[in-house]
Amino acid sequence: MPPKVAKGEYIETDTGNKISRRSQIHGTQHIILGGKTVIQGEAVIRGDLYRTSTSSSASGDQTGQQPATATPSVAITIGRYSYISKQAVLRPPSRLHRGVHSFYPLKIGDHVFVGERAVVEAASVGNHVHVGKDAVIGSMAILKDFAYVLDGAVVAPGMVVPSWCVVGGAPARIVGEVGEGYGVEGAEGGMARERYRLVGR
Amino acid sequence: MDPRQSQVHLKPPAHAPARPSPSTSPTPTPRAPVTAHPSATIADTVILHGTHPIAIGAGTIVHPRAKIYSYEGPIVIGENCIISEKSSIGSAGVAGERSRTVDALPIRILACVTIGPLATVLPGAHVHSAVTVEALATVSRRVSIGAHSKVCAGCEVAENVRIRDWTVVWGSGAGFGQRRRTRATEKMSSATAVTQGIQALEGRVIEDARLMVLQKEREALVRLIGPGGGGRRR
Amino acid sequence: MSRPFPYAYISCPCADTPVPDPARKRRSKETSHKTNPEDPNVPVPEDYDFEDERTFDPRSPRSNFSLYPPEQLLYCEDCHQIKCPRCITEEIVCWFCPNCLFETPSSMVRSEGNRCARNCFNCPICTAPLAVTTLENVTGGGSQQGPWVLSCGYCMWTTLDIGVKFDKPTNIRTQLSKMTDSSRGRQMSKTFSDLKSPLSTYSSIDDQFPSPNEIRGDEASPINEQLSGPLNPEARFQALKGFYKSQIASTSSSPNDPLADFGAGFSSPGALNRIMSLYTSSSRLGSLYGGTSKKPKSKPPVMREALTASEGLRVPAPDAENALIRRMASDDCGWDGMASLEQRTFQSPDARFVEDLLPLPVLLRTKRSKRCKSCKHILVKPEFKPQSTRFRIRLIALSYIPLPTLKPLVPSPFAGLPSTTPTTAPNLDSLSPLRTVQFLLTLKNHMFDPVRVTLATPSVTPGRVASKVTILCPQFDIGANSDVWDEALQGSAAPGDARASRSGTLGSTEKVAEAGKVWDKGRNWTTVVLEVVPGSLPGGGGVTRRGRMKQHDDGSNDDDDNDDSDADSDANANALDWSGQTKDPNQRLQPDEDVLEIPVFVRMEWDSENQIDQEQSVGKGQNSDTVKRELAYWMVLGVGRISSEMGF
Repeated sequence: MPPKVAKGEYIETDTGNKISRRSQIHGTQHIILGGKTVIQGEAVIRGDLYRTSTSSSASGDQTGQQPATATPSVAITIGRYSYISKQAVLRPPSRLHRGVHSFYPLKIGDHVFVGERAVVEAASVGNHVHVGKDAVIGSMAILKDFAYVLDGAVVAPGMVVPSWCVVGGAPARIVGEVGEGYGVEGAEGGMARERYRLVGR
Repeated sequence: MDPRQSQVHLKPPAHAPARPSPSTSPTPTPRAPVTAHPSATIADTVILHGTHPIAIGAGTIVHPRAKIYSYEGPIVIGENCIISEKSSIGSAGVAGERSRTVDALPIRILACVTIGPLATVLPGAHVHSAVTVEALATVSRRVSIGAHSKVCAGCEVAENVRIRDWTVVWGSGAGFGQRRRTRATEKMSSATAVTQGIQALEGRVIEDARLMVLQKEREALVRLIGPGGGGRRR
Repeated sequence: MSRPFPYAYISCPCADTPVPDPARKRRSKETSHKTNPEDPNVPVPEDYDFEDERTFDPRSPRSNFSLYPPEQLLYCEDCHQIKCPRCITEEIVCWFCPNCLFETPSSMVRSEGNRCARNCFNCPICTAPLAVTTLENVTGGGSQQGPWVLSCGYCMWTTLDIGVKFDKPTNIRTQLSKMTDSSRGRQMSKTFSDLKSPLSTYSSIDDQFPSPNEIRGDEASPINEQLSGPLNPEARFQALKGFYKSQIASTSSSPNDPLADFGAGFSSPGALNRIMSLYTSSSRLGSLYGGTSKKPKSKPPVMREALTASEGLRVPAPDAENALIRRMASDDCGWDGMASLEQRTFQSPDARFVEDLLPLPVLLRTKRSKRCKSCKHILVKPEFKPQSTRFRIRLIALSYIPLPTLKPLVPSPFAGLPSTTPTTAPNLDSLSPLRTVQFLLTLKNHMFDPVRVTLATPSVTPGRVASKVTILCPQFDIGANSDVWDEALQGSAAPGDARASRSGTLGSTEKVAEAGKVWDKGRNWTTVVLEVVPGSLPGGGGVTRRGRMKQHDDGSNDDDDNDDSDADSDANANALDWSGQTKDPNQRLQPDEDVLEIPVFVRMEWDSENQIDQEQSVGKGQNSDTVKRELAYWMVLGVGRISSEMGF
């Protein structure tokens, strides 16, 4: 497909989010975008996998779920200047806890980059995190601020990647650290504003 | 509006123009003949194209944006499977042509199989029960994957390969980086365990636990994806 | 990590100055400003020499060790120099577990080893983290009662694979060490000792072991021997160490024989006099030099080897090897049942099969502060807490040297991302030889003083693939960085908008790169145009390389090209190029020889506020409060990969 689609591929929201018309977003009312976030075409965001209130799911599949729907629970939050590339998949993690299977919110911080065809099922992704293309972030994993996931890495379910660490491989291991200057505006890890600015031009 | 309805929201953002759904698509892509069990949950945005029949078993959940193509042969998906978003089963291939010339390559996916996001299962694959194919993994043509096996994220099973039961394929991609290991099914012992006199449990209990979690996950998903429990395509 | 094109690396000047001598450095801090090879006065003239003498060659093997991405470099304010990881020393600020992110006190690291003492384990099969899970879910009770296992979410290994389960979900490491210790050796009661770090052994050897006196001599007590039985590997190592220590002690005649304190003598390299005493006071060596040994011996004392199990001797069962081999050959083992070398690295040396592999407690990580090697000033000091990402001190090079960014100059704005690269942009992964490409080089100043920059490049890049490079405006000024608030008040999008308007669709059609003029300029950045004519690859000689390949083996190669697996044709084309074995070696393209990298010499001058160190100033500015400073370094711009095919 042409990388640069004719004018108007992106819809800009009031808070400056640029969302491709070809993005595949489900459950919009369960998604919070912090503003100036970019979502490219064919990226799937599963806001429909939100957490139902524990009481209702524990008591089985009954119909009285009004309390849960009064305030829609948040499935995915994405901070400012984050960038979700083409065909990436964001889906909230889930697990069985005390006999109840439920989805947990996926929190993505500011200045996060998610590469093409990456699958993110993390519990939390900190600020300035880079997720390379074709990377898989397993369920309930935690990527701390300034974590760097190399292309094609498979971060195992439940893994914690500490700040400044570079992980790669399958399953991912810590293979190095980014420099102290990582995340400085304009340098590696600090390109988010520039990236945002150039989208849809 | 029923609050339940508002929970389930499968459409693109409201301001975006409605995406042409596969059923109303003007393109001449043939809609595959689908027979799905009433208790199967198939999301709105699933693509079911092809010429051969597609059968979907009871209790199976097909996430939105999954793609199932039956151009090269029939596809049978057993009961209680989970097919994740953007996974692709079958090949999108040229419509109509190959199926006539080549012998049909059926895809058989047995019960309790999980196919992860963006995973690919190509024609001729035979995926036995309780197999997990993780995100971005590829099961190539004419591959057989034994029961209770797992293809880890990003791994590719090469063509014509037969994976035994209870095998985990892991490591990086295809070829050299790839590793295999056999899962424990019985009472295992080791030097440590023997001297401790630990009454070992069968390795199988782990798998039982996993399948039970899967069952619960399906129950949760039915509530979220399929409106009103055993929801069908709207 | 290799970077996608275009990239900019900066060369640390330390590669061309003598490596600071650690001995000299250690000797005295106070003399460092005299003897230091990196004295701030020195580098400037040196750099001039450097500039005169030769061009930085990005392809030279040495360059590998001096080129760094800008964000990896630090800057020493006292030396006024860029500092790379080679010119700093590190000190550990804290130890923490990368999994639970809890801090481990350094005293505990010494005594318990550098692994997490909590519930964090890595899978012995695949190294993914293990989770503590209950088996109660099988029954669906969810009562959070045992038994518990460690399970790997990636490869599905569980401790049931080795037949181990736990009674409670806490203190797994203690539980596990109890199992392993009692199974392997009853003598050792210390927890999980086979996973101890080497750090711990020296500090704790004395309280773990009978003193050398007890096991000295040839007669080990028979009671002791009966008790011990087979030791676990770590215990055996300790026993052997104790044994040899006692051997050395008993055979040595000199009371202060340096070898007597085995571990300590070799483990503390700082004690120079102790090493010197090797030559002076050791009886044996001393006599060689005709030294001052007190009682020269006629017969050198004899050291014996360990004889009993308590001394660390282990005699394997006579058929042990055969049993192992039989097991390897048996059907239920197979290749998958054998532990790989990688898996065995951190396991007991006897572990041969996957069933022998034990969960590994997670290795700790450290936070480190960094000092300049030559002047000892702290360059980086992170906050103490493991989870904090703040720094108390962080002198990164990017705060001092201008940040270079390179973009191709294209009619439509370049998106800076491979995914959104406009079709009109040149494909940097296959640049057409001999076809001019223009690039925009932007230098962004992070200092609060305006900077005058002079760029210099060789007109032709070094190496066999000679590309012509011209910087249209080699000398320019960059404005000062201002407060964060200024930028915010001016509107965050201002610089980008300005740039976009100039290089945007409208502007670029009118605007043409001119020699001697900067392309664009903002508050604290300046953009100049770089004109590059990629050279042709060796062996081209009129006929393109791909063409020749096709002439040689037309059939097969054509097949390759048509194959649908050849989707990433660029990579494949390159792979084909340098592996063309039929060619004359001189003609053959070396790996990455087709990468177009441009060395650029950057010299920056600025007036900075005068500080105490007046003697370091190069010259007085107009104002006595300011001093003129300059800094010069090489940087390398990775422009792209030259394709073997001629463009049109």
